[in-house]
Amino acid sequence: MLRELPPIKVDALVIGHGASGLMAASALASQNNNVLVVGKGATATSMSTGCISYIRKDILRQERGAIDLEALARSVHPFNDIMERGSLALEEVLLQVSSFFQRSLSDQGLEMTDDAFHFFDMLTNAGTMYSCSIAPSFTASGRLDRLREGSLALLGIEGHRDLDPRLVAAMCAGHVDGVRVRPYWRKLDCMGHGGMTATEAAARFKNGGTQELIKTISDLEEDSVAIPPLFGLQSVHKGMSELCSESEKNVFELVTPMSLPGLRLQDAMERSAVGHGCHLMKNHLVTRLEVKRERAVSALIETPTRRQAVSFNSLILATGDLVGGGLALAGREVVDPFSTFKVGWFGKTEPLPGQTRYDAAMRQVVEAGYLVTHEMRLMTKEGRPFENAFGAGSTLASFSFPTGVGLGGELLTAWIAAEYAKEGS
Amino acid sequence: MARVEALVIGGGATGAGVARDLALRGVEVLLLERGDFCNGASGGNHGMLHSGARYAVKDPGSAADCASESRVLRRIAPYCIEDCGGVFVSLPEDDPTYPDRFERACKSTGVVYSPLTVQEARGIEPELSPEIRSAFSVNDASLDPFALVLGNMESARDAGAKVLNYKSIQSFKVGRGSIDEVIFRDAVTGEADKVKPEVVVNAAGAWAGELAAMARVKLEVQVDKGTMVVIDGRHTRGLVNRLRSPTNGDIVVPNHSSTIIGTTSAPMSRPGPACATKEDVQELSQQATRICPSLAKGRAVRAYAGIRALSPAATGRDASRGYQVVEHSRQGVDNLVSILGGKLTTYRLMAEKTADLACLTLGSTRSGRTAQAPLCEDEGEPHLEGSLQMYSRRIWRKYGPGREKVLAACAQRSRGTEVVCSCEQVLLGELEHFAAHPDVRTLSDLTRRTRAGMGYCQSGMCALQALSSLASRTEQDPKRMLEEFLSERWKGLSPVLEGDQLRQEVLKRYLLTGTYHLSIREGGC
Ligand SMILES: Cc1cc2nc3c(=O)[nH]c(=O)nc-3n(C[C@H](O)[C@H](O)[C@H](O)COP(=O)(O)OP(=O)(O)OC[C@H]3O[C@@H](n4cnc5c(N)ncnc54)[C@H](O)[C@@H]3O)c2cc1C
Ligand SMILES: Cc1cc2nc3c(=O)[nH]c(=O)nc-3n(C[C@H](O)[C@H](O)[C@H](O)COP(=O)(O)OP(=O)(O)OC[C@H]3O[C@@H](n4cnc5c(N)ncnc54)[C@H](O)[C@@H]3O)c2cc1C
Repeated sequence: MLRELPPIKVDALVIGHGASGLMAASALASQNNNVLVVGKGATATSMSTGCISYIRKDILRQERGAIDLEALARSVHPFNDIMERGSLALEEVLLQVSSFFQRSLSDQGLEMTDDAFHFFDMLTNAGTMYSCSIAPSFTASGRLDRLREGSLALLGIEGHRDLDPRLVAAMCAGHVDGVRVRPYWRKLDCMGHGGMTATEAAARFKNGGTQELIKTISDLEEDSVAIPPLFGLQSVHKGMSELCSESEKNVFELVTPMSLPGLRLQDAMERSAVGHGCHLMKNHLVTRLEVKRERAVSALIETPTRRQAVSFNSLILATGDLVGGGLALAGREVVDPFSTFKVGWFGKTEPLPGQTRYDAAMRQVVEAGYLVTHEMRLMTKEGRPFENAFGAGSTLASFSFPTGVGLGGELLTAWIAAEYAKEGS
Repeated sequence: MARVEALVIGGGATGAGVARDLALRGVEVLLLERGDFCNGASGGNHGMLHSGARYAVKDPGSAADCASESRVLRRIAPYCIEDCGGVFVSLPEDDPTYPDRFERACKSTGVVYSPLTVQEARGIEPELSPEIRSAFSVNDASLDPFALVLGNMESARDAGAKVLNYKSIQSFKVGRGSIDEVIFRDAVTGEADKVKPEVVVNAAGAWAGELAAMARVKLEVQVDKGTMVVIDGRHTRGLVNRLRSPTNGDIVVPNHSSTIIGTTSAPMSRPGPACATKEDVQELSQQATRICPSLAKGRAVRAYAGIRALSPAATGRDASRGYQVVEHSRQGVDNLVSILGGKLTTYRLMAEKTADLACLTLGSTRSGRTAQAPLCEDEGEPHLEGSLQMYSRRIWRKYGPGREKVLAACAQRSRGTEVVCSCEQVLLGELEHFAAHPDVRTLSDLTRRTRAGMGYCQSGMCALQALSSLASRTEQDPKRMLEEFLSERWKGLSPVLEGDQLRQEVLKRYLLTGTYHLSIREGGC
C-alpha cells in the first residue's frame, strides 16, 4: 500500500533535477519564491563532461565574434523566436545567466576562474575545474597554447579507466603542434586492484594527492602531466594544487568520454539550489499532472512507498531528453509521458556547421521534444500556450546534445523559463 | 615479377579452403582478398552447420553433401562448432503433407533424423510454440564462420601458402589462351602490384562473374540477398527449423551469446553492398516468433545481410544450393577455374574438387588431404595458473590454429586478462594480440577476430579500448578509424532500433559522437 502524505502547496514546482531544473529553481528561489525540485534517476548533467559553451561572459563582451549569435539564433529554435519577438534581448540574457551561474558555482567552491579556460575560447569547464579536453576537434580548433612548447605526459593509472593514455595520444596525434605527447601507464598501490570509477577515486583521494601519486608525477621527465579525474568536488582544489606544487609540474586533469566529471557540476548545482533556499526531493518521481484548460494545477509525487499531491502557481518541466528519461518512446515515436503537452520535431532543422548529420530516424528521435513558445511556455496538444507551465533544457525540441547546444542552452532556457514563471507566481 | 603456381581469388570459406587444400598438396599458393576475410557471404550467413535436413526434400544432392560434409567438419574443425543439435517443427498453417515427404527424403539422402512427439520436442526446446504439430530431431549444429575461415587461412599459411587481405584484383592480362598476369591493388594504400600465376582459381562468390569477365569469359551468376537478425541472449538450446518448404524466417540458430534468426531471399540484379531493411527485420521477427514466441521479448541487437551466388538455372528459393566447378578452357582460357554456389557447410568438399581441377592444370597428381587433416591439433587445453585459468577454456574453444599465441598474449601482456568487452567477455590480451597482427587494419577486422563489439551493446563500451590497441601501431587517423567502425555498426543497428535500445543508442552517441565530435555516416545502403 502506498502511504498518502498530506498535500502541500508551493509557488513553483520544478520537475527534473539536472542543470536546467536546478538553474530555474535557483533563479526562482533567489527571488524569494518557495520552490520545490523533484527529480529521479541519473541526470544527463551528471553524465556529461561539463563543458559549457555560450555563456562565458568575458568572451561575449570582448570578443563578440567568438560566438556567432546570429548563427546560433537562426539554427536553434526557439532562440530565433527570442531574438525576433521576445522582450528579452538574447545577449542580455546570456550575460545574466552566466554571471548568476558563475556566482552560484563559486559559492560552492567551483570557481570558474581563468584556470578553466586554458584550452579554449568557447568552452568553460565548470564540471572539471581544470583545463579539460581531449576531444580532438576541440584541440584542433582551440588552443593548447600553454603547451605550445615543451612536453606533455599522459598518465594513465591502472585500474582507472577514465584516461587511456595511448588512446588520447593517438587521438591527439597531429593536433598538438610542437608538443611532444607521451603516454604512460602506471600502477598505484593506493588504488588497489581491479577497476575504479570516478566516484571511487574521489573517495580514495578525499584528503588530497597521495605521496605515491606525487612521486609518480615527479618521476616523469615531461614538464606537464595530464592525469585522469581523481578528486571529488570538496578536494579538487586542494588536491590539484598540492600535485602541482609538490611535483613542480603543470598538472591538469584530462576529461575523456570515459569519465564522469559532470558529477561535480551536478553536485555543485544541487548545493547551490539548496543554498538559494530550494527544497530538493531526490529519488522522487512525478507520476501525474492535473491540468485545467491552459493551467497546470497540481502534480502527484511518488516513491515506491509514499505518495503526495503538490499544488503550485507555476510549473517548470525540466525532465531531460531521452537519455535523462524525460521523454517516452513508443517504438520510434517520441511521446509525452504525462500525455498533457505537445511534443514535436523541427523537421527542417539543419545541424549546426560541423555537427554530425544523423540518420533521419535517429535525428528525429534525438531532436524531438516538448514544443514551447518564445517565452518557454509549454503548449496543449492543440497548440495553445499554457499560462503557467514552462519547459526548460534538453527536454525541449531540438535542445538535445549533441545536435542542440548542450549545457549552455539548458541554462539559458531555464533562465528564460524562470523569468516568465516569476510573473505567474 | 613474382611468379606463383596457384593464385586463389576470394577470401571467403571457399577460397580459404582451396588455398589450404592446395598448400597441403605442396602447391605454391597465393590468396588475394579484396576486403578482410569473410567480406562476402562467408561473413553474412547464419552459421548453420547443415545436417542436410533443410534441403532434403527440394535439393537432395545438396542434402547428401551436407550430411557427409558436416560429419567431416565435426572431425577436422571441432573448435568452431557447437554441436547443439536441432529440431524441425511445423505449425498448423504449414503444409500437412510436408512431414511425410521430409522423412522419406531424409532417408534417401542419408540425413540422420528421428521423429519426435510434440511433448518430446517441447522437452528439448521449452520455448517452442505450444501450437507445433509435428517435429523431428536432426544433427544440425552452430558454426562460427569467422573462426572457420580464419582457421583455414592460418592453417594454409602454416602449410606454406601466402595469404593476403585488402588486395583487390583489378585486371587480367590474357595472352594466348591463358591468363599471363594478374594486376591487383592494395585496397588501403592504393599501391598496385602484379603476379604471374600458372593457374587462377576464381572463388569470388557473388562477384565470380565480374572476375570471369576480366578474363573475357562468360560466367552466369544469380545473386541473391538474405537478411538475418541477431537477438540478444540464447532463446533455444539448439537450432530450430520450420518444417516446411524453405521460405523466409524459418531458421533460429543459437550463436555465442545470441540467437540468430534468418533468413530472407531476394534476387539482386548485380552484386553490391547488401543491407538489411526494416521490412526484412519485421518479416523475420514475425515468422520466427511463430516458432518460438519468447523471441518477441528478446532485444534485436543488429541486422545484417549476405549475398549468395546461386547456380543460374533457377532463382531464389528454387535455385539449388549445390555447387558447380567450371573449367574455362572450352571458352578459350586454359588456366582459370571458377567455383560457384554451395554452402559454408560444404566448403571443404567444393574446395577439394576445385583443387583437383587446378592440380590437373598444373600437371600435378597429388590428392587432397583436407578430409583427414584437422585444422588444429587437439592436444587438449593447456593447464594455466592464476586468473587466466578461468578464461583459458573459452579462449581455447574460441580460436583455432594459433590459439596458444592468443593465450600467451593474455598471460604475458600487462593487464592482459582485463575484460574489455563485457558483452562477449573479450580480454585485453586477445585484443592486443590481434591488433598486432599484420592482417588487422580496421576496428572491424578486430571485431571479426575477437568478437569484441559484436554483443549486446554493439561496441558502446569497447570501441575506444579497441581503438587504443590498434591506433598505436597503424599510420591511419584514429578518428577516421573510429568513424568507419561506428558507421559500420550503425548500419546494422538502424533497422532494429526501437524503444529502450534506441534510448541507449542515443546515450552511446552522446558519449562517442558528442564528446569526440565524430561523424557517423547515415545508415545503410
Ligand atoms: C556523456 C555526455 C556528455 C555530455 N557532454 C556535454 C558537454 O561536454 N557539454 C554540454 O554542453 N553538454 C554535454 N552533454 C549534454 C548535457 O549534459 C545535457 O544536455 C544536459 O545535462 C541536460 O540537462 P537537463 O537539465 O535538461 O536534463 P537532465 O540533466 O537529464 O535532468 C533531467 C532529470 O529529470 C529527471 N526526470 C525525468 N522525468 C521525471 C519525472 N517525471 N519526475 C522526476 N524526475 C524526472 C530525469 O530522470 C533526469 O534525472 C553531455 C551529455 C552526456 C550524456
Ligand atoms: C543469407 C545467407 C545465409 C546463409 N546461411 C548459411 C548457413 O547457415 N550455413 C551454410 O552452410 N551456408 C550458408 N550460406 C551460404 C554460405 O554463406 C556461402 O555458401 C559461403 O559463405 C560462400 O563462400 P565463398 O567463399 O564461396 O563466397 P564469399 O564468402 O562471398 O567470398 C567471396 C570473396 O571474394 C572476394 N572478392 C570479390 N571480388 C574480388 C576481387 N576483385 N578481388 C579480390 N577479392 C574479391 C569478396 O570480397 C569475398 O570475400 C548462407 C548464405 C547467405 C547469403
